[in-house]
Amino acid sequence: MYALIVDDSRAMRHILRKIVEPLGFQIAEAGHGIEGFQRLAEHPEIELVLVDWNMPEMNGIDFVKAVRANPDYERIKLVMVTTETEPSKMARALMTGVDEFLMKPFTPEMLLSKLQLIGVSMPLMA
Amino acid sequence: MQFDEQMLQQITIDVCQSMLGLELLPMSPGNDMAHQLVASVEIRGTRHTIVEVFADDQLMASIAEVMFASDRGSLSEEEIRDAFCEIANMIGGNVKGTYGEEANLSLPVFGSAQDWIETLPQGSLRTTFKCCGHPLTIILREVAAPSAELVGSVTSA
Repeated sequence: MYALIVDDSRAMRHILRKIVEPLGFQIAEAGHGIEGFQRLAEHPEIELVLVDWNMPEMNGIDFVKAVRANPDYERIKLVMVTTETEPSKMARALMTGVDEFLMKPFTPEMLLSKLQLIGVSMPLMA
Repeated sequence: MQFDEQMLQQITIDVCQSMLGLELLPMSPGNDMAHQLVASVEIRGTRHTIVEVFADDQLMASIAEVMFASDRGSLSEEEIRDAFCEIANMIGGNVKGTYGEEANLSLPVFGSAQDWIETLPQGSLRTTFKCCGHPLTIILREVAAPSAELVGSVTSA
């Protein structure tokens, strides 16, 4: 199983990788939405995407819109992991097609809880 | 909501202590900002503020080593800057979330504090912690508070 982490911060991608990898996912990474699409094309088996909102080149909300516009990616679970905390922005993200919303800062438990909530299959989860 | 120093402290604690496990101890602000490095983000809405995070190179490296779970001295300068900018991004984003209105958060910017302007505009906030034995200072610089006229026009829109 593959998960894709899209965030312009390498440090944040590393933190997310350290949480998600032990759950049984192989990880692909991208620094912005355009790279994210390249990774999706390279790894059609990606089932989970963790995506930031504020990024250069293509931001997270435009990435989500584009993913949801493509029927090939219908099965992908999308979690927005971001510092955008206003209710209006959360609502916009959910209406755009995000399955869950996780605010930074977060703990591993908070992310796991979100993944369970949206029914992400985690092979190595005890 | 009136944003105060206690809220700025709590956001910093949430980011550095609760998420990253870094111990923070409040301390008196130092004056040697010119030898520090700064990562900043800008918040633009009806209110315009800049969140600046200051640290010396040793503290920046320590924070980055925690974020990358890396050994001491193993990270590149770019990785250290990236980690420090993400700290500013998280603090700034959470400050923005307390404003109670939609605003835009810039991407983080990194630089030297050499040309830093010591005088803070009215309404600005400053808090300092000791982290890994070094000062970590967060400044919320008020660039433009919303005028009553502007707030009124947004509310009625």
